[in-house]
Amino acid sequence: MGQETVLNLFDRFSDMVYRIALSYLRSPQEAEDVVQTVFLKLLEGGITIFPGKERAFLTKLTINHCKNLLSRAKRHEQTELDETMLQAQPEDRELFLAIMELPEKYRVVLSLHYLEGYTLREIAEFLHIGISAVSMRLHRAKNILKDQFGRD
Amino acid sequence: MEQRFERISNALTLPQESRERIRSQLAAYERPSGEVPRRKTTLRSRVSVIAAVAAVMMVLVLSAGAVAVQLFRNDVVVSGEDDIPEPTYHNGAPGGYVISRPSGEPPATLEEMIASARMITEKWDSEESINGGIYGYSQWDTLEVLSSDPALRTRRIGRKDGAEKLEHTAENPTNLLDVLTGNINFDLAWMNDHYDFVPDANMTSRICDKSGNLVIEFFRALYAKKDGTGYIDLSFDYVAQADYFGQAYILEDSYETAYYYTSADGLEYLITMDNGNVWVECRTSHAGISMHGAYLNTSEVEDILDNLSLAIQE
Repeated sequence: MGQETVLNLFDRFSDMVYRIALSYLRSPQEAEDVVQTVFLKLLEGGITIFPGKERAFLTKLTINHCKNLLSRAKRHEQTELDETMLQAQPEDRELFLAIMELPEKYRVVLSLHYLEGYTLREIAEFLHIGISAVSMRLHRAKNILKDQFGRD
Repeated sequence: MEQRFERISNALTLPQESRERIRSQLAAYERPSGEVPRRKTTLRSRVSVIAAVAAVMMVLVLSAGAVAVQLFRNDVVVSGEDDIPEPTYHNGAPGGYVISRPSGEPPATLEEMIASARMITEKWDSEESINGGIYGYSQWDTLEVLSSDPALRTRRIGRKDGAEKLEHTAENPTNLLDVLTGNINFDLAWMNDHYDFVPDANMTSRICDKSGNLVIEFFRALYAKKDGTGYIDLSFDYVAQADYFGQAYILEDSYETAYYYTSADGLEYLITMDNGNVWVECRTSHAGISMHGAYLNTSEVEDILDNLSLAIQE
């Protein structure tokens, strides 16, 4: 894949890759490493991505890479998140930290759906789980958050 | 709450400083030029040449835990790009693919290969050579030479977070076998009888993460034909966690020869030949067995494969 194409993809999707990686790893530093790794792979790989599939491909690549990192680490060290990393209103910052405190399986589904806009079906296929499982995780994740933040 | 999610999504971006750093790195990336043409243009091979360690498994996208059995993930030979399946969410195709093609160049001479391989050791004591590694392990901070004995040199390269790369080189590649982890087992006795090993063109490299878990192990050895007319360069790597990626394809007309061969050990290899070059690849979930040779015929290649006693722990 040409450098210009990769840079273009980086400009369009680096934030998405960062957010997905963060939802898995809970570490801004490691999420940044994932961004670097994912786009370097594109650059070195001579890969062709089917037109229109770039976003899904990068999502899949990011998810797999994060899963590998977590699996490799066996017991992933939990990082204390710096709340100032999110330049947002205090209440949104609180919600973000609460999302990050959710169990991984809820956190990832919620992030893919609400932060990245993927449908339940797409998430099911990314994660190799059933749509009902995605739906249930999402429901439980939202309930946990609603218990903390009310029904707004 | 949905609106708040949206605001969080908009606010949660890659920090600007990191964005600029990574973008600069991508923009400054240069594909290797003037390298000894020892590889096909595949992702794995490029990384091998650049960083002297193999790094990435190009495999079908599968779930991370579903790789208990040994599966061969060699390039798929197709008659044309039209035969490459369009990705859907149901056929396992990852949405991207790689087509491997020969460069058309003749193989490097043995002298060039030796010169290339010896780059691994000539800066053995120099911190200039400690950078370079695999993805996520591209920057290192410390270097400690543990042994300079040419029979088996050892050095430890470290990173501040505790990750570590241990490298060995040896005049005789057989000396390297004892320092391997055993994830890929093989025997070089037949090779030593039928080919001449090239001194100082042989190395192993093992990277462990900050917790001491194996990330990747790499082995390389160079052998010359006894009559001096050709050579075979062996590169084996083992990745602790397969890095799921895209499928690679070969267009059948792009090589003079392209066929699958199952060795006496039961491993499936893809053998390709073009303009004097020979490439051999066997990829499994965790291992990559790669060879590049010059001026070897198919019988000679198959003899090598049948006499390595290769076994891979999956």
